[in-house]
Amino acid sequence: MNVLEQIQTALNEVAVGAEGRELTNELNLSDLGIDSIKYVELLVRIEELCDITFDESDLGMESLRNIGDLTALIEKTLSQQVG
Amino acid sequence: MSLWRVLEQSLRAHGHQPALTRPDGTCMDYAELLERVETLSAKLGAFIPAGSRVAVVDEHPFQEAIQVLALIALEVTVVPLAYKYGEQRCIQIIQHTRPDFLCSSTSSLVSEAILEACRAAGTVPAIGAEPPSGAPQGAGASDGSPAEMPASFIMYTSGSTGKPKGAVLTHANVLANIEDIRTYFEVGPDDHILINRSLSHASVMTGEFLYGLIYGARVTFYTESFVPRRLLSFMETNGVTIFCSTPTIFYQMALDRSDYRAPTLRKVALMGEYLHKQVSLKINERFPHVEFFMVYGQTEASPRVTYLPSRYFTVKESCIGTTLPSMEFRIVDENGHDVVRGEPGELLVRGPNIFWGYWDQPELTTVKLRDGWLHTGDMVCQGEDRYLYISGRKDDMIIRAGMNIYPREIEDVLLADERVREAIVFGVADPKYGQKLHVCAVPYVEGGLTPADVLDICKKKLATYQYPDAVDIVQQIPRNAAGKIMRRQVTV
Repeated sequence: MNVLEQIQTALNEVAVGAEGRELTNELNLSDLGIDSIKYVELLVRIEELCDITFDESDLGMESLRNIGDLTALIEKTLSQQVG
Repeated sequence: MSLWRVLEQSLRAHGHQPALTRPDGTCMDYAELLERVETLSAKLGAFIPAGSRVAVVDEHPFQEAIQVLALIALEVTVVPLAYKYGEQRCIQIIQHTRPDFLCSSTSSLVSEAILEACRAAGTVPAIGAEPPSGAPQGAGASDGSPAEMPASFIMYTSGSTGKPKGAVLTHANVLANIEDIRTYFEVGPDDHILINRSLSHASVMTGEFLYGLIYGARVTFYTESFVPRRLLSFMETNGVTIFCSTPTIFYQMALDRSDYRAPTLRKVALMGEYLHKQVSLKINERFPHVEFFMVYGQTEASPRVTYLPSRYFTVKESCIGTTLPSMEFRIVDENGHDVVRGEPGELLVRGPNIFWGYWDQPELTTVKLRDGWLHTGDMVCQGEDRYLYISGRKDDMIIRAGMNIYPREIEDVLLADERVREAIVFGVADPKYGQKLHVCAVPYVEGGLTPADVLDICKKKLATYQYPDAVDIVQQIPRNAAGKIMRRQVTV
């Protein structure tokens, strides 16, 4: 599964109406009804699905606003943990 | 002694102890805090007369806290506006409370829409403690305020009719509750309290902010959005010792994949929602050095009513413990008669912390407050151990992540949309949220409504905590023989 598919899987579990919705980089998490509690649940689920641990300095709703931000963070974390 | 006198004594007595953390992370001591508060109250007192109602909104809770203290010193009624819950909510509160003044240290949050609401309500904006210019005639001399209403807080909470209601908590109510909290949850000058919720919640105002300052602790507001790993890291870096939170928040912290253990943390009070057994076990396992308390309350009780001592934290499921020392309780059936011990009934409580009434809603006050007894709406029974066990609600209120939600608030918004023929909202037990918010909706036209549409409708009119966690589009909603919707029978 690629990164976008992992995000889709996590979103389907956490966000209302995410299933079947096209995930563009510009799509804001708040547009999917992700509040602060769901945001945490989403990050936890992605960590489990991708078997990664995000660096705390990268987390925060202010810096992770949309799907593009999330994809970039997962790819960066994956490359650091492989490296 | 008045609330301000008690606070002032503490602010003087703790002189060079750390008091309040500034937004830049440095800490103001008690002597400086007292000076700031006295200066601000002198400025505000020059144009805010006694008996006024004053709404407060600010960008940072640090500034909001200083404004609140200055207004307590002036012995006026404080109405905290929770900007975090949206501008619409602030406007609703201004319209309902009709404050005489709106205080903010900055103009940044006072939008044109808020100014318009102020104009309509006769509220005079006072930005940066500057005397307002061109105040409308009559403003500043509290209109319609019942003459006998003492200096208070008006704390807004969700209403079963779909509109928020303002609980009037007098300074004496709050002080009585603080004295009761002291009997089981001691804090002192060596403590550092971290607050991550808004001062518009009675539990934060009474049980964290004012309580902490009265007993000489350091108080820090955490303003970042909640990410467990970052919050734990902040606690470790800053030596936080006391934290009050919902089980939802603390459970997420216990589940975090990091190695943080918050070693300086010594006491945690959990409140606001049902504590599932698996949650208490997990929390205790991750933070074995912390003394946990489960506390129960309602805004109308200023807010604490009962507490469960820490030794029973993981042992007694659904137990809310015993009432605070100055309180009495009864458990009554639907006819108002006391039940036999062990039988379930509605919890009624009485004591010096019980609120004065709802602002401008005498009918509602009569329903909730009778002969001094607060009708909590919570169904409990008393066990053989004499502790109280909670079994549910008398009404349909849902508690999601510590926030009270009345289904009708959401149903009314959905039904106002032309695509929605019927809608029902209900809670489903969930260890991570306490209860999750489910919506079943019937469209007028088959295929004319999706779960994403339902979310979009909610986003336009509701606060984020009222957004659904799950949506089902159905053809029919179950009803009983009388045609009444059976909310509790709806399952997904």
